[in-house]
Amino acid sequence: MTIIDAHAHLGSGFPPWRTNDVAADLVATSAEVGISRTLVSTLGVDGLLSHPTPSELRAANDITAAAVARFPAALAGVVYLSPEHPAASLDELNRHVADGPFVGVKLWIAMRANDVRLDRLVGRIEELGVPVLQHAWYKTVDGFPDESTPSDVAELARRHPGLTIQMAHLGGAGRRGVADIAPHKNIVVDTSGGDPVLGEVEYAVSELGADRVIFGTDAPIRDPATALAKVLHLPPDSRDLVLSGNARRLYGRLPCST
Amino acid sequence: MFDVTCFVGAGPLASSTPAALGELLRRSGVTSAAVSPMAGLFVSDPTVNDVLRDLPPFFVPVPIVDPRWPPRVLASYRKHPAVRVVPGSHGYPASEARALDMPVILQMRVADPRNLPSDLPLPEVEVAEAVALSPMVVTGARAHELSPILTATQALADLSLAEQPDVVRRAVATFGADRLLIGTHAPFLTPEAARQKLLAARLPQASFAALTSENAARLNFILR
Repeated sequence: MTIIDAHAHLGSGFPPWRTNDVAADLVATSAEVGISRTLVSTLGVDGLLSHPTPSELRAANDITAAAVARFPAALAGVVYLSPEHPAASLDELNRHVADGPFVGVKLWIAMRANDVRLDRLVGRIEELGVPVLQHAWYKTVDGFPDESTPSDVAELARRHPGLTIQMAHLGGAGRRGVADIAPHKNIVVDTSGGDPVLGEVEYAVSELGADRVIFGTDAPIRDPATALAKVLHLPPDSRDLVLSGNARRLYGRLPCST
Repeated sequence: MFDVTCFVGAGPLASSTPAALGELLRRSGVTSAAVSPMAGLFVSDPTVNDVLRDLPPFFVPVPIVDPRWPPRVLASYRKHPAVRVVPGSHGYPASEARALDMPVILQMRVADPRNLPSDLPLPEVEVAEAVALSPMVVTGARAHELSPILTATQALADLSLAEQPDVVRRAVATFGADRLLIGTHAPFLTPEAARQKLLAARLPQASFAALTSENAARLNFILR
């Protein structure tokens, strides 16, 4: 069974766990649990940067590019952009997607997903036909300023019906978040986010359909083996879609061998 | 695989009957489980432990108690291999449980506070409080909390809510297999997570046996 992890990270914001090399650790750990391809983004060179400057964006994406070049069979790049810096983000998008091998875009918490200032950048992403991995969570405590909720993501999807959105963190969206995105067929939700709560993936599959739930670990913030446990008891047809079929369909730039 | 952390009965976040919980756990390789009353995680009331009566032998009943209960009530729980305390949601300093004259399992937390309903606060136990209590077993610690607790006490810890890549392998290498237990935290979490974490560690047989059964037997949860 092929397994594609559609949500993982590189960079120095995480303590390495086997060597001093996060990329090598991630590739090795993922392979041991059967993950054959991991989509990675880097959210900062010195920690996770919620409001990166243009130069910090470039440096973060350089880390991803170097890792993808080093592990081309195991990793695929997702470019980190910030709508606070539209010109620099468009440059990065062109450098890594239009003219490079990256397969998607990561938007984190620089700006809420429903902010109209995203529109110019998102329009270009739509032209390129790559998905956006958009952070989202419903938190009752410890939220970040400008952190998107599933409702914000739904609004982005409504304004951009041609955009494919991978909403991060089913575990943070909960049933309310699933209900928010259900009407918007251009949103899929990934299985990452928090502890491996019993039944949450089964619920999302029942409400959205297995073709709208995609496997993601959020490693190395979370553990790939634990993430995999969330989906192993799905019926085989649904499990195959969640673990690889949906990623292959949505991320058209992934190599055919994935 | 012995599970040191699971809960039976009805609750505001998750519920399970003994039959359903047993089936859920067996499906992920659990052969026996220390089970506590779900309702006891939320309220301090001796009657919550009534749900532990007449359980099938798959389960080892572990009542949830409050050290402020009358001595006569607390004495009735001495027949069990351990009791569980949840000072966070019951609202007392963990160190008060030192007065209990029986083996104590300290439950540090129940759920991710970010995802809890705002009208259901479940305060967590701080590391310093866990160290002050120095219980027989600590359950529900996060990965970064294991080191200060296991270094400062003789406690064993479960890995039910400890998650990071290689968490089991790193914990065994750091603290020793004799200090660790497997907990599923079912039915809040999928028990398959405990199994997959354990399998991913690819432990030597002796360490695997320690985590899955030998340590639990040493604590009298399993008959040798």
